[in-house]
Amino acid sequence: MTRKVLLADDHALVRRGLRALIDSYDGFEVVGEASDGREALALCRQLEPDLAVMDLSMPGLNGLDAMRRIVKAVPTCNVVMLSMHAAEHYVIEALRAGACAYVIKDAAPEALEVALVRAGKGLRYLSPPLPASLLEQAARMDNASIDPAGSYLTSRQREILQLIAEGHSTREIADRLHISIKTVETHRAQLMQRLGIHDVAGLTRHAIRCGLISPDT
Amino acid sequence: MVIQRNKDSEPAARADALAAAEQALRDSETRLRLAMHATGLGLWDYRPGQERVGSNEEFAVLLGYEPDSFEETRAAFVERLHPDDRAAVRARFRDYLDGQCADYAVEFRMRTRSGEYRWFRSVGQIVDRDPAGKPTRVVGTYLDITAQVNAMRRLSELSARLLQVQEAERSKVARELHDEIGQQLTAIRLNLHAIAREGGLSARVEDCLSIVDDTLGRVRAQVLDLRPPMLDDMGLGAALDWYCRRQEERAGVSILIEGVEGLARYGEEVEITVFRLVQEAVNNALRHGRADEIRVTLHDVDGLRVVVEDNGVGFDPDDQVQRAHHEGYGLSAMRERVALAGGRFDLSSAPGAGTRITVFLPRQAGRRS
Ligand SMILES: Nc1ncnc2c1ncn2[C@@H]1O[C@H](COP(=O)(O)OP(=O)(O)OP(=O)(O)O)[C@@H](O)[C@H]1O
Ligand SMILES: [Mg+2]
Repeated sequence: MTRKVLLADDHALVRRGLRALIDSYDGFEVVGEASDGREALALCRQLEPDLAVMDLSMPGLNGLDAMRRIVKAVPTCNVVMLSMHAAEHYVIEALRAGACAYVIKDAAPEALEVALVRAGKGLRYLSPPLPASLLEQAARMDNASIDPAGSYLTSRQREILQLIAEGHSTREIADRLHISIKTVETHRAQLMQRLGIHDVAGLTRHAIRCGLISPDT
Repeated sequence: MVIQRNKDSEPAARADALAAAEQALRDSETRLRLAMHATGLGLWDYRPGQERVGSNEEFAVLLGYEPDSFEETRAAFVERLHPDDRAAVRARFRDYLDGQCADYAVEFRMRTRSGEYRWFRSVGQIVDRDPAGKPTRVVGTYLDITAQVNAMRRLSELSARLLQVQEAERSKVARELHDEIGQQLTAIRLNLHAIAREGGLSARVEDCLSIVDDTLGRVRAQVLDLRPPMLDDMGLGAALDWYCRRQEERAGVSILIEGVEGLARYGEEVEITVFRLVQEAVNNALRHGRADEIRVTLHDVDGLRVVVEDNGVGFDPDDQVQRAHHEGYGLSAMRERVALAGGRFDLSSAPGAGTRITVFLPRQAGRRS
């Protein structure tokens, strides 16, 4: 069965390239093209595609806001968000706004195919090099009754909190994040002070509560 | 040889000396008058308690009056002061007379004969005191500094304009790079991938792909340096959070940032002002301060309070010699940006004690009048 795809990107050349690429995949057909968020919303309502491949930054109604409205208006349409941004702020925001998959434009073209296949089945997907943990994090941030204190951590603090809760040593965390041991220690101290928690067990409980790790890891 | 002293010659000698002294005094007065005339300095000579104030010709000329018919009084002076400057000038003069401040040098506006206000710099000094130490005579000068004040104002307008133009240009170039060049390259990349899918991945296509990827990477890095899209897309909090992480990795120091998560969105001018400010302050802390810990704190208190502090070597902000040496642009641009957005800027630093920059910006940007 062929899945209907709506394509939204403000740049005609990029749209053309994407269309050629998607049409070359088995089982997908581009049924409409939109050049901004508003048009994408209107076409989704009209064509009820199975999938929408949308650029995150578009003029007028941007991709994020358009997507919020599309997933509400056409719940059967899964959105694959395309973006040049790999920063987690974008990814989490997009996932929380209802994206099924997030593909970085620089990723290998196979990533888009994988994203379409998975999103076609309603499965979530992030293209490399995005860590899958962002997926869980965004999902849990939505579901769990979030401890507001947890959401007031910086991205760096959240990252370090997660790694501590997963049982990594300071040195391992420093290596993994390419920062110095002292920096990890400083962040950890600030984090503990902010949360008013002064031991690892407490930090772990907190990380679970605000959805950074799942209780069974 | 013995000199015979002539008894009669003494009074004569005294008269000669007196005449010489008088001549010298006249010469010196003439010189002073000429100097004041040449430099356009007005003179005032005030005795506390008296209404009349002594003045020279230049003073009358500065104010547009005929020197012959001009007579200065205390009341006329006060009345001539610009209403916005009056209280401050009088307070300053009183403080000087009371010994609260060491010198009297003020700049203010006075109304001239035509009704136009001009800027003057007045410098005065107590020259006589009564036995109790109370000042009985103060003498000073006026200099018309209207041209300088206007030039300074023009300069500050120009530097504000410069910042705006620079920001606008940056954002234009960033948009052009991102929206046009970046997208064209992306399109080329997609086409190359499509070619590869149809005809197999030849070495040439592979080569082209790697060139395109490299070029795209460069374009994106340029865009980030010019104006991070995240600032416009996700707001100041996310952009600063992201920036500090990147700097932390690049420089290998700790950059602690507080108050970015859940930070409200502000007007575009406030957001770019704060972003540039933090950027410059962090760069200074790394480059000059050689700090290994930098703290950036944001706090919304009916406006945005931003503090950037480092534990680096610090410096003496009042050191004029140093200032003249380092023709730095960063700090003055910070001040200028903050003033432009109607905010307050404060810098405190001392050798060995790190540096702290504190800024407060109103929610809605706008220059204070
Ligand atoms: N955080 C700091 N720690 C130590 N010294 C500082 C710090 N910030 C500023 N300074 C001193 O103040 C001077 C002026 O700084 P400013 O940012 O105005 O200029 P600059 O950094 O030298 O040049 P530019 O910013 O134009 O590249 C610096 O040269 C340095 O001596
Ligand atoms: Mg500087």
